Amino acid sequence: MHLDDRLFSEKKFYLPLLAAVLILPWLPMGIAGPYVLRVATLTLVYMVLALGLNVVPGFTGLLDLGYVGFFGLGAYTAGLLTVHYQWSIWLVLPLAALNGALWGVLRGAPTLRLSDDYFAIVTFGFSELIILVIRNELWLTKGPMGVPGIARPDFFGHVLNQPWQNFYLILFLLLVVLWVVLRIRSSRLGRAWFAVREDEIAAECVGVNVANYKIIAFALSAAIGALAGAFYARWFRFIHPDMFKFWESILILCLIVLGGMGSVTGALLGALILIPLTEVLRIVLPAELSNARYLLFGLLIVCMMRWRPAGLLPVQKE
Amino acid sequence: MDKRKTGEILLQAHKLVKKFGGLTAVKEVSLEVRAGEIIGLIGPNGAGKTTFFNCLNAIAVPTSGEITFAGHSLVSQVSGASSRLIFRSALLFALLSLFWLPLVLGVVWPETFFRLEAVLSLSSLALFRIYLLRPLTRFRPWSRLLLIIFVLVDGICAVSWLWRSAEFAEVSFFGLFPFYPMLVPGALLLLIAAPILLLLFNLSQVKEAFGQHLRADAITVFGMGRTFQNIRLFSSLSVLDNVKLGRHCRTRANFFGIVFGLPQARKEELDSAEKATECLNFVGLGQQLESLASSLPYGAQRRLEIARALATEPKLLLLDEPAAGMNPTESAELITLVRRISAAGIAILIIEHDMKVMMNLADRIYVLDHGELIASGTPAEIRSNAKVIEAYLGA
Amino acid sequence: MLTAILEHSSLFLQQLVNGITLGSIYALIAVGYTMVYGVIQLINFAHGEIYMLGAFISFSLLTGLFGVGLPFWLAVLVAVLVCALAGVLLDIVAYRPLRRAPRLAALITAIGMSIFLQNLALLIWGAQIKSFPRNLIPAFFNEPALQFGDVVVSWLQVIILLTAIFLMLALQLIVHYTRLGRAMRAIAQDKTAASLMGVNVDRVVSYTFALGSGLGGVAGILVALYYNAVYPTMGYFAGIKAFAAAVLGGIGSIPGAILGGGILGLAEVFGGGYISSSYSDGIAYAVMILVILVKPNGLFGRQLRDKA
Repeated sequence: MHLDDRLFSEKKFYLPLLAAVLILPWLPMGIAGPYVLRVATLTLVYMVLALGLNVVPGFTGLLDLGYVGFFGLGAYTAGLLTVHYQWSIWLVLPLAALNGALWGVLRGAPTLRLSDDYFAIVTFGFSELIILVIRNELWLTKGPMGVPGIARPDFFGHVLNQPWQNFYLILFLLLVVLWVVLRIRSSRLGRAWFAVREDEIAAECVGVNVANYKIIAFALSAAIGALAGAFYARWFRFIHPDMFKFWESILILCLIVLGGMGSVTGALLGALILIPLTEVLRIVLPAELSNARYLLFGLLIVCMMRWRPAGLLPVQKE
Repeated sequence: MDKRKTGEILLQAHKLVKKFGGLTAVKEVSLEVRAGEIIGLIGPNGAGKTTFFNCLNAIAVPTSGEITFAGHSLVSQVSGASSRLIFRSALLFALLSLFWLPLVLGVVWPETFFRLEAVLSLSSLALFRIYLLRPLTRFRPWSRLLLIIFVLVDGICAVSWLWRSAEFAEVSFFGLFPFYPMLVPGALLLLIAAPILLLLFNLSQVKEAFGQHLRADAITVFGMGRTFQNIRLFSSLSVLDNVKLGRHCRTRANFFGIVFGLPQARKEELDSAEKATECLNFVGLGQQLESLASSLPYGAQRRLEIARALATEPKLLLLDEPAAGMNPTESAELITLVRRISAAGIAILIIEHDMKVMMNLADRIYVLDHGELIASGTPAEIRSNAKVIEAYLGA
Repeated sequence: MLTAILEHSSLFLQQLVNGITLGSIYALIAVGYTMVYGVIQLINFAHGEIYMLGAFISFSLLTGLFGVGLPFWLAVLVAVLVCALAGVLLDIVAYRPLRRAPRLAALITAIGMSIFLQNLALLIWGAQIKSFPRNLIPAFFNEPALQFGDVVVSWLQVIILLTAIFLMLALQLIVHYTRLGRAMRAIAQDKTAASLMGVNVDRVVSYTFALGSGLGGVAGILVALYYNAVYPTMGYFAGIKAFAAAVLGGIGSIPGAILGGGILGLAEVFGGGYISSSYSDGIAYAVMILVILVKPNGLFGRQLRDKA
């Protein structure tokens, strides 16, 4: 049995994990101070992103280099809706996810026939265009000034001010996304994606409508990315085009490459290792060089592909 | 044997032609398969047998000819297409004109308006790509005209967007377009050239779109299963998952059913596991459900491919050189398997090199050489056919 | 209206000159992408970083950052050689081990190398934009070579154009009339068959990387001089645009890359000038996406893959 299935189907595996995560905010301040909690929350955001990205390169085998575009799209959808209309996060989250899915489909529909590398390039160009539009359409997004003062998440009229409340909120979202992804993965839908990844022609010949299933994957992946973005905007309370640079796409890709493409556990593990590491590096490195931490990510990607292309937790048994 | 011959006609190919550039791989081949028959398709290497198979289940698009399968016409599905096309284009035009309306009425803030319009003109291009990529059925030539109109409308939208953006940006028109006298004829030229360029550059795609017939997945649903000459399994999936994929076209569960675990979706999942196991038992792989497909020995991979095709509940099974690369014991087993499939009432069309195998197995045999059908008939007739002997022994 | 045209004709011609200059630089970079893709079907994402290295190394050699200050032309020559070497090393270290791996693995590695090199440059040289000290580069570069009314063509622009034309012609000669070129074309057709015919595939791929990277390095130096700016992310943007040019021309085709570079350079300058300057970067992306969607083989590309 694959590790993924074992981890999420046997209580003795996942219950201790869940318990550990649940009590994290209540550990003594020395361990779980506001900063640690912030990093933990960020890690969960990236776990959601990694799960979402994993749907396209991991499940359908198409390399997506522009995932941050959907993250940004979700963040701006949520941010602008909140700033202009003061809507509740429980309304904003699904709207952002829907908008993400819409653009996922719009981006995906013309690319159905493209081969792997051309698809990667189109996704890259598309996300750069999204960010360009965000940067330049001042009337809509205020461009390089960013959108400050986004309201915090709320829960039945109660504003979630405390870090631990936000932590639980993103944990809840992560669990929802995890649930959806796991359900889909072991269903006819997930199998159809794997078939597309393995061999499109054979997939067609067993009756899989390749175009349809690719579109569903694009929509789901984009919706999850936008969902993470929407939470991020409400939690961080400020969004700016520079937060959604190409690097971020690579970072998210790095998470799933490290964990093992197509592996759900791997995506979570990748985020668990890399995001805290990023934060540590941000502190250790001088401010001027803080971007140089990406050097390590580049190196990591190259080394993983060279020596362990299937990732730390490969989907396949050797 | 007589009982079989009286079966209804399941598959009928009429004057099927497939050209690759200047090369004609299949030349006016006609063939029919009746329910329950085992039909052999033989011929020397490069005779166009696999290409013919690919045309039958729409992996390749035939250049001309007709295919009818189980009451469905696979190539010339015209009915319904025109009305659907007209409806969709009318909808698109209505949407487009909706966006013009506010400006005419002077309701919308102009800046917002022209941005909306730009987005719309882009999205209508995107919609149009969907037309090109996912045509359900064959379009008539006049729909080519519609295509040109779409591109024209998009072009006009884009140009008018630029034009008005100058006005609303409160920049003098010359300031923004110092060379507008050159720009206008340029834009006009582009508008005329765009559809032509599109048609020229994209000709193969456009052609395919307009001459489109049903795709392989739809044909599988009608009941045509197949295997491949060079085995095409989903190699990193388990044996069971490979065959469960064969059940894909017989299950309905959608995204929401799966996510919320609706009873129908659960029942389907159990059913497909059960049916898949049944198919695997039938081909003798019932003991290796959890192994990876790629870890199976060669002969077992061939049988797994057959099991996967059987799981789609085919009426007709296309087998492309199923015994290639097998030792005598394995190929004897395979012949038994084919007979058992046939006994279950499934018609079989089989490509095979080995004449001896075919003589024993097939009810009727078609012989292809250089893409042409040179003979057809019972094994006895084929054995004594001069042309066949020449094709196999001569040159 | 006529006066308006006349008033703006000089602007138009100036834009034309700038566009051609930019286009010839894009073409130089695009050729690197196209050659590598033609031979090993890999989008070498790190090619833009080689171009950036060219600019940085010539800058460092010129200003004596590494302890030795070289005269201008020598610095340029050494920088180009270093770039060629860097390209070969890149191939040997990162790509060669993955020749038999899935295409996706090689593509991801290329992205990883790109990120790595870019941030390496950031660590070594810092993030600030650097410019060439005026006293160290030949003085005539910024003097006008030609002048029609208000339209000025500087010597640097002339040099850029001539260098590009010269190098392209040389490249065409190499590809079509030498043993190396023949081997490259053979590998592009069929790697296995070429190696069976006695072509040393690894060596030819190394030469291909050396040629492409050398041209990229030249382009980097020229751009650094033209805009008088050197910074770690310069390779990223130029790389993407050059890649768009290569795709536009048909990836794998050298004349295609040249034409694509020219078209893209003009489109960017005119688009930036006449449509919207803030979207001038977007033009490259839009062109690239449109070409890939409508005609993936580009203007001159051959059919790369067939389904089934």
